[in-house]
Amino acid sequence: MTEPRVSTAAQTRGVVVRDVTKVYRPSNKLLSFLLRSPIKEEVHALNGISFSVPPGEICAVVGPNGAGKSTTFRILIGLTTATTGSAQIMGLDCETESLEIRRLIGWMPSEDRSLIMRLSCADNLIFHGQLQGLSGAGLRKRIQETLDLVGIGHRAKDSVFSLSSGMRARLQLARSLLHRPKVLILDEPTATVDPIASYELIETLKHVATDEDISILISSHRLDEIEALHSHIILLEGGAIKYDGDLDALREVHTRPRVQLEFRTPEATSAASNALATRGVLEIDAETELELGGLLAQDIELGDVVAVLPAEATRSLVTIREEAMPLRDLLAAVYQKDQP
Amino acid sequence: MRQGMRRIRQTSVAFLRAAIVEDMSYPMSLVLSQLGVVVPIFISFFIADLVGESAEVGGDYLTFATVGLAMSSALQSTLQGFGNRLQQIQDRGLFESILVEPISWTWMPLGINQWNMIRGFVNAILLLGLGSVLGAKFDWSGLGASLLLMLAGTAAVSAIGILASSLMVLAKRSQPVVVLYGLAASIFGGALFSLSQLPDWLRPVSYLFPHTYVLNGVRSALMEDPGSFVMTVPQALAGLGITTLVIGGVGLWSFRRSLEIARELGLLSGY
Repeated sequence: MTEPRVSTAAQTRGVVVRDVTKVYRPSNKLLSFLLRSPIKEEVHALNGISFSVPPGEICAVVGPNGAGKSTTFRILIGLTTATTGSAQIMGLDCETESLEIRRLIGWMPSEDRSLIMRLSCADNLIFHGQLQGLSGAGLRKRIQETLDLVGIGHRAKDSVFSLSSGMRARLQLARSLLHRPKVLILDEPTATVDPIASYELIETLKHVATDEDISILISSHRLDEIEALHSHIILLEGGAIKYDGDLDALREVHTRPRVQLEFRTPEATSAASNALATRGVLEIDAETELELGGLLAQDIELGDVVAVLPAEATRSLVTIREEAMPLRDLLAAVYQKDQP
Repeated sequence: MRQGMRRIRQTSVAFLRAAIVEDMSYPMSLVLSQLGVVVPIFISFFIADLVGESAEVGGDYLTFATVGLAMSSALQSTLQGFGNRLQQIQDRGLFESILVEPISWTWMPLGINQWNMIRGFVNAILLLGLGSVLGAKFDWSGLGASLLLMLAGTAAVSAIGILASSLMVLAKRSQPVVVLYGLAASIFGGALFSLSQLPDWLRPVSYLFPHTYVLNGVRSALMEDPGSFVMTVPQALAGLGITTLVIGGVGLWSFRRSLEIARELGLLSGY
């Protein structure tokens, strides 16, 4: 197999996206009629996004549907082109050097339909390996190693249609890793798998990123796994980047801890609820007879909560605990920040 | 150069192997489709009695029709294979995962249709053998020339198939066009009757179809008397060569261009 042309300097770059825009334009009337293109007016899918992902780093791309995640990935893997700006992988241009880039990337689409269902796991990987330029005993050895790496080495000879969704996801991951890519691009890799399989897949990815020193771009709607990745995170919305950095830094800027209080009597709970709400200390979002919960108001400490509690509530307070802001709330806070 | 040839061979082996393994996983479909190929020869066997020793078909209808059916089968398998296989790949969601492999998009249609070409080729030889068993009389010294014509014919219909595939990449369905073309080719190619039967004003149309050159060239090679419409092997090869060069060039260019347009418009993933 020929090694793709990659300069040493370029190897340090991983993925670099600069001022990329993508506008899907409606085709002319004849083409539009013949192709039944769904695009009737200009769609600005990306509005000048820039980011980079160095080798060994996992980057989670997060955003609501239509935020531009898939378009970004499709530009990187060469399935569509940027309208303006540049996207590079290992120093190679995604539009003009797509053939060489396709040797450097491993792509895992969200659908398991991209596997050939009637073929065995090994045969699927042989097909992919041969298209990547691998062959012979070396290919077979690598297939077994890769299947073992993702935990389905014992199912090598089984047809894909006999596998569970989780195993198919692992097989797709194996396919994307088989040719030892420098960059992995994973589009909702755990969309169809259960939480346990998802956890195992994420753990595998973390090991791969570290051991193989590859850049990983991953999109997901599953907040638990984004949290588990402890990764660089890019928040997209309406084709623009709302945040680009690590999750901890995002927490520092936007986080408001969640406080949970438990009382002995309903009367104490009610008194505490009134006092906390009146003084604007806690945004209560959960209340039962004996428990209160909510986000701390901006610039308020846990001690302030205790300080404003009426004496009767303080006397019957059983527990008070502070929790990190759930990622769901954190992301909601980021996305709502610029809303009118 | 050597590296490039190695990549072409590897890509070719990959597509061929995957298609064979997948086809073999549907054994009943494979057997029934083979049966469907041989049945028309038996029909011709009985029609031959009705036609008798017509000079139009060289006095031996079974031999005349066997060549027509065998060659048409090979050419149709190749021609329809492009669209069928590409549509199958698109509908299943495999298309994008193939496009992100480091292979030339220009030559991809040939890769995905190899198995259909080989099956068509083998079927044609089987049909000639079956016809021979049923009483068709061939001059087997012309077998080499016939195989050469089949290869050239396969190249020519591949060119047309790739052209149709380029339409399919954008419009997602091009089978009606291919089916219409196939029907027209079965008439104007003269699979079951001599082209001398066509009205004079209509006969020139038949030269637009590679089937005409293959069927009538092979008849010249394999039959002592090819009937009233004669086309020599060199004439047939020349016709096929011109068709392949012209349509092949346009087809490969338009397939790549279609992919580029679909890439820009974001239509590659649709089906």
